[in-house]
Amino acid sequence: MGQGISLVGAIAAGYLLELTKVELIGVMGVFMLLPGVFELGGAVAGAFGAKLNHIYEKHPDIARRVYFPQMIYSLCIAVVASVILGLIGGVAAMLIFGGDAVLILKIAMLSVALSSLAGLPIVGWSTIRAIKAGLDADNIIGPVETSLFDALTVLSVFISIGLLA
Amino acid sequence: MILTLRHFLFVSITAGLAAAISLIGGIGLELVSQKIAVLVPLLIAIPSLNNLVGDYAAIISAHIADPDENKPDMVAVRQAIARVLGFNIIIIVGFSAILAAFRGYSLDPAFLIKFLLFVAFSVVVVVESMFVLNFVLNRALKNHRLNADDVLIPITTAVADIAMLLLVALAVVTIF
Repeated sequence: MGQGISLVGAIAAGYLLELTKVELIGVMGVFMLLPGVFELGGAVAGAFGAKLNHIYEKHPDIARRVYFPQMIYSLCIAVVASVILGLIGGVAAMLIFGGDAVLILKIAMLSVALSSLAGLPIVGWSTIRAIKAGLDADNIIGPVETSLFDALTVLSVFISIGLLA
Repeated sequence: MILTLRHFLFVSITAGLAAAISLIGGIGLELVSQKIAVLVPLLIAIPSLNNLVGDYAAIISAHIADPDENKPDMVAVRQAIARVLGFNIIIIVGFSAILAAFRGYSLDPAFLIKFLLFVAFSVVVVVESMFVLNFVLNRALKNHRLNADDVLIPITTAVADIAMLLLVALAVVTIF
């Protein structure tokens, strides 16, 4: 079932990719950047969900207090990590494809920030709903965050290009 | 405070570098971006294919990293994966083709057969490679007394993603 959820989200992301391909292809280096942004968003969200789950397991009394600080912490990690990704991606785009390194850096940062701002609250909410339903959130969150963040990533890259390019 | 900041920076830089490894596969995609844009079913299938091989890479790594007394029979793991893999491939090919048709893409039988064969071939090749890679890495990690649980999954999922994207790029240039 988890793989089913993951596949549905990935197919939706693929469809969004088709819908936005003209804009994505229009900026040299964006197709190269996409797998990195997919990976980063999903990794940060997955870690956030797992951490939340484990805090709830061990300290359910303080879990409510740490929810937002943990979300902000994950968002900050995502933004700083996106700088690293954007720098490497920008230099690669410039050297290999003659792309605009600064633009790729900005797109990486803005798209990761947007997808994390939208996706982290949903992952957090899903984790808590799963825990309260008596399910093992570790089994639920993986498929949810990969499917959600795949689609969010394509949308956020598209929005970033629209704002920056 | 300094410890927390150092930890935060370490985690952030590690996450950024790990994501940057995926750019290797992205280079292949960028090289064929103009060509792949017109192969609508394949474009739609890309995230699904990456997710699929990444998931199986993680599953194989998780099983291979089990302690010897709990390790399942890898032949049984392979058979279990094989039973579901065919179904996943058909779902990906089917939905990608249907959505492409919605976008006005003209599906001819020759393309569909090539598409199905390519998806099946590439997924099987990558998943089989993950068995080999996991076996080799697990041995190497044991020899160096490292915990496989910490490193196998990130490495194998990254390799699976890169391999799949490079196969897609190769297929765009050679087959389609």
